[in-house]
Amino acid sequence: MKPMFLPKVENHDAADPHATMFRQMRSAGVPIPQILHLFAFKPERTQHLSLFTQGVMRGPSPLPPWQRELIAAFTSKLNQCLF
Amino acid sequence: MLNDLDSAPISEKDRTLYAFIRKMVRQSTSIGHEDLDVARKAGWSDEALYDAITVCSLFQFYNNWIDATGVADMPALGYEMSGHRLATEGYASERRAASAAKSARSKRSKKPARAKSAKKSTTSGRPKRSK
Repeated sequence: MKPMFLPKVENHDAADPHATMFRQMRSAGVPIPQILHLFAFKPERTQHLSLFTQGVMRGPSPLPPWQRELIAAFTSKLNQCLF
Repeated sequence: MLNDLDSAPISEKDRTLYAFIRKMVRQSTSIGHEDLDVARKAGWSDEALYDAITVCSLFQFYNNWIDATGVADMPALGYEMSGHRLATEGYASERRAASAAKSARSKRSKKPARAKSAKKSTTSGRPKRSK
């Protein structure tokens, strides 16, 4: 995996729960998805983003979760982003 | 469908929704009342449209966020925003990482454990990451 553009964000010493998660992934031989470094860098604000995302993608809605996933995938595709 | 909206084998109702999403991504400043009227006429409620618009907007944010910070794309993780799900599931994903570590260990020791862990990874719904 290529290093991120912001090494201080990528190598930041994460606090829990991210620290534990990272440690366990490393010991399991699972590469850490880099987006988690974005979440771990300023958790006091990204926790709200996590909750917001959870609500947007899984909360009650006339659109079933699979359809919201498809909208997300379609959006990313249009943005030429493989994520 | 992701490649060619106009010829994708989906319902007209769905096609209308995805065409709206496409307009949001490509030319959102030109969206007007008429675009929403078209979507409503196709059968989408205001709540459904609100939710669809929010999903699209959120992922535009994520796409920008990871592009500009150089987060490498992870094709094997698929489109299920897996990295993100790890983040949102918090402790649940820690448990999974722990059990992945455990099954990786038992994989090395004996066969039955392998079958068990393979089944587990299918049911967890998380696409397996490739090399």
